[in-house]
Amino acid sequence: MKTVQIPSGMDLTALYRQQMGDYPKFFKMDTASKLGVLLAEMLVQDEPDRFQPRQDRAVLVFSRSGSLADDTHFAASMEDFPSPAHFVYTLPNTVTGEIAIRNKYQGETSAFVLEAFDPGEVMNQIVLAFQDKVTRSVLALWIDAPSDEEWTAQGWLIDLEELLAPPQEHHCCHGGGHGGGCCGRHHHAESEEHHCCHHGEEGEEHHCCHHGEEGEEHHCHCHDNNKENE
Amino acid sequence: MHPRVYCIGKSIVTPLGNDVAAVFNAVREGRSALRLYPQAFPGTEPVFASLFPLEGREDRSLFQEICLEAARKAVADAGADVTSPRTALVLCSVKGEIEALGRADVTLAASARKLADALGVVTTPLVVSNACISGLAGLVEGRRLLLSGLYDTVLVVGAEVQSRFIVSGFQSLKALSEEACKPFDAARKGLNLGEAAAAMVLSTERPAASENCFSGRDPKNHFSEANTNPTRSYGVWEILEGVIRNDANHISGPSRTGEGSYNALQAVLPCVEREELAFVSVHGTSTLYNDEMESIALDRAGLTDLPVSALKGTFGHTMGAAGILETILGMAAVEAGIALPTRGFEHLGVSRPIRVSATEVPVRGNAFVKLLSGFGGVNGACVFKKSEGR
Amino acid sequence: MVRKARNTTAIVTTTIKKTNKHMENLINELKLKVIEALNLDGMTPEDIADDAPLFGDEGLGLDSIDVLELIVFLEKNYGIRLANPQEGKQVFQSMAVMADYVAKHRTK
Repeated sequence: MKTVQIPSGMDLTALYRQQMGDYPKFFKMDTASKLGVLLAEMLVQDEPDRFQPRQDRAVLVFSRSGSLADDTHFAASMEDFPSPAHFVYTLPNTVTGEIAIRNKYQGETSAFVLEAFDPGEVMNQIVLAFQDKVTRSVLALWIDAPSDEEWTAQGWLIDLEELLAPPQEHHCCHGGGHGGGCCGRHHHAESEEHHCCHHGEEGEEHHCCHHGEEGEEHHCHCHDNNKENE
Repeated sequence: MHPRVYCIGKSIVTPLGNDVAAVFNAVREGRSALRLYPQAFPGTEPVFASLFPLEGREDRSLFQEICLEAARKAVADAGADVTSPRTALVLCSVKGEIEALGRADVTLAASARKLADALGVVTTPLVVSNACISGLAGLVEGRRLLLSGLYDTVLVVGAEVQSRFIVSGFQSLKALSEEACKPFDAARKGLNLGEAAAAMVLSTERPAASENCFSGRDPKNHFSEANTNPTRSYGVWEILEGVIRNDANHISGPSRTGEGSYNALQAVLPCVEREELAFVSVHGTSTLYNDEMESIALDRAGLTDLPVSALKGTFGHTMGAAGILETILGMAAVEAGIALPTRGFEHLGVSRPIRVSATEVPVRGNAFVKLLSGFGGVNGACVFKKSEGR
Repeated sequence: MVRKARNTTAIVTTTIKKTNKHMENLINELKLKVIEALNLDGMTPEDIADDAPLFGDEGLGLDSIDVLELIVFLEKNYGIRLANPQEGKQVFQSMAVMADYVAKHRTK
């Protein structure tokens, strides 16, 4: 599971230029949608083929205030000329729409209002979203922006495999104990010979990325001067 | 085989009436509460809408009142214990109590809490606010809550009241017609707004099959005189499937290819046999773009030979209530063996040959699809089926 | 007689120059205001050619909501009421077309 957040009051234009920079529609959005699009960007920007249309990722937004900040702008515009550009953002779910448009997510988009941030309820809803047989990944966001200046904004990205994978005993070859220098990404059955992804200096004990049976000749992906490499 | 989700109680609160059977008959007879209001709310242009009485709204929350009424009646209809820790409340609305903006806490969570307290619900209420598919999304949510085993009973309440806020907004989008709306018609020029509340009680416990419609105890909810097919008399209603799909195209205009609607239909149609479907109850807002988009989605999904039922020519666009209100009327229609007439429709004005009708159409089949769309590119589809059995 | 004709020519030429200058100012004013009204962040009037199409991919990429917002913009700033988005699309073809329309129909 990946998680990101945007501190309250941060300069969103600066963050946009740093994280995106190629999406002029950003400037038409309300604060909540800007936060949503940026959180999503930070979570998925390194994914391969990220702009390929897909139905298997659900986008869920949770909030207490919903579209309150933009509601206030629209209400002010009502006094002389009601603004259509503001009105279209006076919905808690527009955030998910903007994320869907930017990233070509044609799966489920949902919006919920909670009394307060409740990680248990958010997790609940993420699990429920996987009841849709097509959904294999969930982008969940807590975006509470009662005004344009202050907010809480956090995002999570979870895949179905993560939820389903059983926890496994993890052995690390470096100095024992989890976290003793291993990448932590490999999970093995108990007592399986474990080789992790560290690449040693020339002559140094070399650990590679293949996990072989004890005693088995194995080849690694690491590129160093070891002549036994493929 | 996972547990099944039954509809064990329902109710509606509309300007056309609060009694399902009576309102059903009113729809059959082409009646409606839609009319022109020269100035429904301060600062707004004339609006053609279906509204509850406008007087005296400043001192009370009409939204809370209609939610409470719909909720209580549905609970009574179901004979459910709403105070149980195994009962959830899901509130569905787009703007809730927005007319109090600046004077009160208008967050939907606050509205849901007030409703929960008034009903005696002890669990934390959930609010679904997913534009105009909210009611349907709430039913999908309710179904998921039951299938997860977290609850035994879910009360889903959908409601919307109109206000200066919403009317001004739609007028700024030039989305409204100042005349009675005409879904799918060649002369359509916009939607009419509406107000309503509707509620449904869902449960995994199969109720005793009863005569017509639901296992409800209120005899006014029966349609025996309208039922032309005696073999359809007994049974229970189920939600077989429900999904939401985004167009990923535009935040307020639908996809020109009906992508999200089509994808939603494709996801739910496999759960039912084609011959079991009596009709498809659509969104049909009477805007140029929505109706055209829906016709494309229906055509792509191979449903052009299925009768279409569109109710916004009767109730107007009731936003958060639509998904539940229109579904309840759809259930009544299946009970009666008809697809309800589409009020306002005369001549087909969309590019695909879908079966919209100005008059009621006899139908076979014990199931129907409910299709809705909303701002933010959302589209929802659900399949409801009445199964036989005593 | 010749002097009178020369004066008339001078007046007409000056008037045309003033009108052109006036239109130039109006177009520039429109560009600035539209950039602000539609949140076209980072754009300057120099980025928008007078005859460049405003809609569609070759243009500024404005969409249906922008049309509606421009309709509000015209009423708010120049007192011009357009009836519907179709009329709007005619008027908003380019900055030059818009300026021309504003010059002819403005009430403030």
